[in-house]
Amino acid sequence: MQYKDYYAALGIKKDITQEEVKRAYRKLARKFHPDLNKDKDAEERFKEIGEANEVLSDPEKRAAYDQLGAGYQPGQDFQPPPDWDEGFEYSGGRQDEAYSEFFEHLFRRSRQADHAQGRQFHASGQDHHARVLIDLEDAFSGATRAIQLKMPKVTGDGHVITEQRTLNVNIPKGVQPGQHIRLKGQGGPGHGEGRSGDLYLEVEFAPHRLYRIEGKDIYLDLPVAPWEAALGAKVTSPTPLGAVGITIPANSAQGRRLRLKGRGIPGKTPGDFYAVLRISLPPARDEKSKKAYQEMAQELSFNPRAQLGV
Amino acid sequence: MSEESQSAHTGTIITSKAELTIDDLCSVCGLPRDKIVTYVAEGIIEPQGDAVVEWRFSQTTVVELHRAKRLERDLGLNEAGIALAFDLLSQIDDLKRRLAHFEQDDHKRLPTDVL
Repeated sequence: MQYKDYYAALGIKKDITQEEVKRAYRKLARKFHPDLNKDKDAEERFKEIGEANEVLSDPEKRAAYDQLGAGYQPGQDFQPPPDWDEGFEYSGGRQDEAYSEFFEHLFRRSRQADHAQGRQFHASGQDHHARVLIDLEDAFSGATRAIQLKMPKVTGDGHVITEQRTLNVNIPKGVQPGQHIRLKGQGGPGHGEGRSGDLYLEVEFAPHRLYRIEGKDIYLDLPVAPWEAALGAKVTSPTPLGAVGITIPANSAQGRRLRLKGRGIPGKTPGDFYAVLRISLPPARDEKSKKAYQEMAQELSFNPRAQLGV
Repeated sequence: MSEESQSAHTGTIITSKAELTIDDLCSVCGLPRDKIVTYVAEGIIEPQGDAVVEWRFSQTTVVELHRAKRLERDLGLNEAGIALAFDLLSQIDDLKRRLAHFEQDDHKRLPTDVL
């Protein structure tokens, strides 16, 4: 079992007051809370902070930890002396969270006692929340994703351990970014005869090389030549459902949106597909193209800065 | 519960269809009734219908309530704080989406515009 330096986890000194512990915890908790910080390691960090706070914010636990930890280095192999916590009483604290082996061993004795006495209680399991990253294509065809979940689990002797669990989940066709998929009974286990909680998977889309997704609509920046925008043209555009012909109306301006109804994310009322025109200028590198631009300059009386009043 | 599942689980996409009563919500989320009433009053969650007995919530409300509970428990936020956090989070999401749009645009435009 590894010794945990809870003071280092909160970035505080040992002689700090309870009030300052709380302040340090809150500050870090706001920074790393998984609901506020979507970075991958935020969740792990938040757990460490939570565990440190669970011990240091409770004067009894803190006193026991201080007494025991003198002389230990973080990560050092640790064996608590027998009867080390004599005279300390712990209660409260979060019972649903899986902390480190170090924490479980030192501070979750009371639960063991409950268990040994065969005390019964029934409660529904916790609902859990996780994220799943999918590709746009998955929303069109459906897909199966293996999701790694860390779940707290109560062992036979009443300890809580973190269990790594792999869950294969069918991603239904037509799912949109930010939507949640509910998996009944895949959350935390119930106590006694209580039912298991549900698992809520928040769906995120990986950035796509071509498309942007807004709700159920899909946007593509479609490059067009100046003459295509000016004279109108029929061009080919990619869509997630395959290439389609799009008619560019004459005198289209930069940024004009052309809608293809029902070619967005599928569903009972499917989303739409928008091609946003981006006028792409041919470079004037050789004589021929330079001449073409010069002719345009002579033939057209066009002042692009007319709106600026100069 | 703990066995590795070989077969894939199929879930349901939760929708914004309003179908849950306040009592449904209480039992699903394990929250007292008056807490839900306070959350509605603060605008953290929004039901359809006027009178409490007519209130109908969507399944997405369940997700929002879980998030509200986490923020309250972990950060000590009160209802007004949660409402503010929700507003700011949705603004951040929106800005991030728009930023991604512009960053993608920049990336695409540079080669031609630099000429």
